Amino acid sequence: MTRDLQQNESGNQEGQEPQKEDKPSSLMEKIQQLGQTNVPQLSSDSRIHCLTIIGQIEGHLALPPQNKTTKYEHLIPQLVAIEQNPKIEGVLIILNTVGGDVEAGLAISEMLATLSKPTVSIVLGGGHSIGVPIAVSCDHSFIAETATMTIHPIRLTGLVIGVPATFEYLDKMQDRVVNFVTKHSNITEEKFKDLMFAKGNLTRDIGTNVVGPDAVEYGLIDEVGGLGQAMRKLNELIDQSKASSEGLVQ
Amino acid sequence: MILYTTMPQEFIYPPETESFTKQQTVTYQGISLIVEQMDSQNVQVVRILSSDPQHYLDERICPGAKISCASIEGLSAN
Repeated sequence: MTRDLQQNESGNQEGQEPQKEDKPSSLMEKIQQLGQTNVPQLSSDSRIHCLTIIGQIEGHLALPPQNKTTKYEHLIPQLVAIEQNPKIEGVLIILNTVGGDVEAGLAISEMLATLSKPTVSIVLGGGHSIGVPIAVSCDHSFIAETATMTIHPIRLTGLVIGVPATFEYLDKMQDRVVNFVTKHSNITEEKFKDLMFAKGNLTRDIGTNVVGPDAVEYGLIDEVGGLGQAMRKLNELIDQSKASSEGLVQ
Repeated sequence: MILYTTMPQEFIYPPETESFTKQQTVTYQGISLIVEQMDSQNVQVVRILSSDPQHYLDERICPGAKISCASIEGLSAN
């Protein structure tokens, strides 16, 4: 009985590490095992990868380490790796962000929008300001019932030169955000600008705080839902893309 | 004192420069991690930088886990 168990164990060991070339003796194996805890290896590669966009979106300006941030230089190589790895079939984006750098946010949004694999986003808690383009950039977007999205005009912190060109620059940046959102969601430009320039909704600020079901009503987000629905949708999109690629081959 | 302003906190109170050097990005067994130096031999995992959900289930690198400096491939400044 014990012999059987041992054989099973060694069989498992072999299965887990097939790449090892020179097989160590069983004694060596046992010595190594004494000092290690066995980590359950479910599968080496997951079919669905998950990107979490949390805290502030950090771009050109490095924020102090006590701030929770998502750095775009971390996300972009991951997105490139996801695009290149044939084993990865879909990406789930979890958003809980207060916004941040406009250019970094737009860079992430563009990367997600142009990814050839199915993408699904969920907004949990908050997907404010530049989180809005990231949420809509995916093939299908979900928002939790309690989640909110603040839509407001872009702001500039730091040194501002008081010339008309500064305003024009800001206006152009504003248009880039508006164009991206209207292109990738069902909201009209008019409605989005209405929400963006609304007065009296935010304390001492211009803009609107849109709650889950309202975001769906305005056409900004596709559906109200959570993790379960998002995973189901992602699997559905993966199956669809597989079927269409098979169709192309034939 | 109550300071009511739209300016970000870090513009009003500049961060201490030493707080930047404590955290580093390292690669441990092919997984990028943000770690904090604990003592001269060990670092503590702060965050996992990976899109693979399986990496988050690995007990060796869960946030708060101690890793010895010797087993880390590249200790690069953040």
